[in-house]
Amino acid sequence: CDLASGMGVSPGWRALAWLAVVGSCEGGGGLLGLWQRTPLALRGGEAPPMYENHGGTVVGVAGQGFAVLAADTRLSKGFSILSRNVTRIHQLTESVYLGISGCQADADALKNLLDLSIAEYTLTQGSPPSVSAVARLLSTMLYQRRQMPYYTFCLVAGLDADGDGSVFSFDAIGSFEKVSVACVGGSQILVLPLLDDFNTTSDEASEAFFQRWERPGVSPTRQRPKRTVNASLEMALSRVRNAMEAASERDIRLGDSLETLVLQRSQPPASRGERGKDS
Amino acid sequence: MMPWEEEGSREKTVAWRVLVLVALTAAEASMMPWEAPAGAAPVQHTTRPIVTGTSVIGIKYKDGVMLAADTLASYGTLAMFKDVERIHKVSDSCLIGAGGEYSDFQKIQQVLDRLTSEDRNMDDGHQTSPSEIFHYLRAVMYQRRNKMNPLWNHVLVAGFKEGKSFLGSVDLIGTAFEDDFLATGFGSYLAIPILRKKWRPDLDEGEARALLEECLRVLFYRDCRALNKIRLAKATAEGSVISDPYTLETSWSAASFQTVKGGLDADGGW
Repeated sequence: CDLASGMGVSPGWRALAWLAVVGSCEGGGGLLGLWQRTPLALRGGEAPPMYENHGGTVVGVAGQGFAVLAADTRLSKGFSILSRNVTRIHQLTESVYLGISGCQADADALKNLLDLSIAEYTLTQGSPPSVSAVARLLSTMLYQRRQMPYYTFCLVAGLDADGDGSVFSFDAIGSFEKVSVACVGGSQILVLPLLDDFNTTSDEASEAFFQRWERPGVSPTRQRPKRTVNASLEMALSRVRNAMEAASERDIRLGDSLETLVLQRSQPPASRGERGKDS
Repeated sequence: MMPWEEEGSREKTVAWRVLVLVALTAAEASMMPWEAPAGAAPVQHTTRPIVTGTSVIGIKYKDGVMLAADTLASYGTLAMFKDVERIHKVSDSCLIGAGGEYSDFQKIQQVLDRLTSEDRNMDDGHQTSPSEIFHYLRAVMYQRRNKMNPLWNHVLVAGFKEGKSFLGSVDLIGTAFEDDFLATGFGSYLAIPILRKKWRPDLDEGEARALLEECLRVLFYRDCRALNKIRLAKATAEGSVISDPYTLETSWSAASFQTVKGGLDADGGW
């Protein structure tokens, strides 16, 4: 009131003038309209944080007669650990499993939708979908959310009709590829290089590069890469375990337990031991 | 003579102005988006929480699950509502407790009460289990986040049904997981380390209560938006129940509270 009298105009008229100006603004007058037109940054508001990366790393190996799917069980948020005991490996059909890392909220939603689609497929087709069919379905589903992606990094692993392992690796918007060895998630950058020597023996390092391909000696650009590793199940398991243990020494978001799933031709799926918990 | 021109009529001036403000905002607020004229301001989404609750802590114990939270709803730095209920009984087998925006928590209570009232109306002896309530709530929170308009809460769902304890956490973007002990907000930094050290699966009711009180006491010492007035709640085979509020004893005689550490002539520690 002191200010107003100092300006020489009575408070009542000033209030009315202010309201008139605000009320005449295009797009609706009133104070609510004025408030709504103030940029978010000035109002002290911010876009709500809709994505979080909860970490997690998933590894898959496709072999002759087996497939291995392994994932860590730590759920982290920033520098905190939300849980040391979450499962990232989900069963989709009798022979197809899915490992998901990234945003847990999106992972759960994606898994639920996949379950429904696969149930519908199984009922209408009379048999469950193959690994490659599930992979194609997942890719389509991920791309359908291109405008607000599922922040998830997926790995589909299973046994094909011949009982050999099939592993498909994905990115967040649905790019996928059938590979013999895959790793997705937070520690991919540390773990994948350690799995690169899968198709070699220790004595033949120089031939290692050519052993990856179906026809040794022929240029890699003229043939497809092998889709299964040239290694036994036990070798695959120990390599995966060592790679994850090594990476956990250097990545704060990788740790706690390692959940491993083994799929073998003509055998029920089995989990193979857990690495001890670490801090 | 207008009210604002009369001498000594300051109260009337303020009242008149408030009335005009309210009338204007009410006129706009009552319009639906499709009723608004072209070029009108767009529908608003939650951008930040306004009236907030702080941590909630939950632990499984021998007989069931226990939740604890203080009774404060803050308005920024103002401790505005000091006797609110941040734990809600959903059914005889399930409790929820939440931090974050209090109005969104009230909305969540309404949504879940709709679930349980359906159980009551069906009257077929079936009661929605805590796990089902947890998964339903996850779906609700995830849906709202997909619309970029989240319910700004971090909820703990606790329950006991058919001999099994349940404790799960759902946050504003739909992140959902279960565990033996959980905490929201500041509790995840201050209470979880205490629980990791002292929790056992065979705690009896007295020990569980003492453990929760210890966590809430530490939170009152170190969380600026906490209060020492708390409520406890438990879900056991006998049903779910929320206690009346009571005040925690606090002691400010510890050396680190007495000795000034901050400042130029001190070591700057806390």
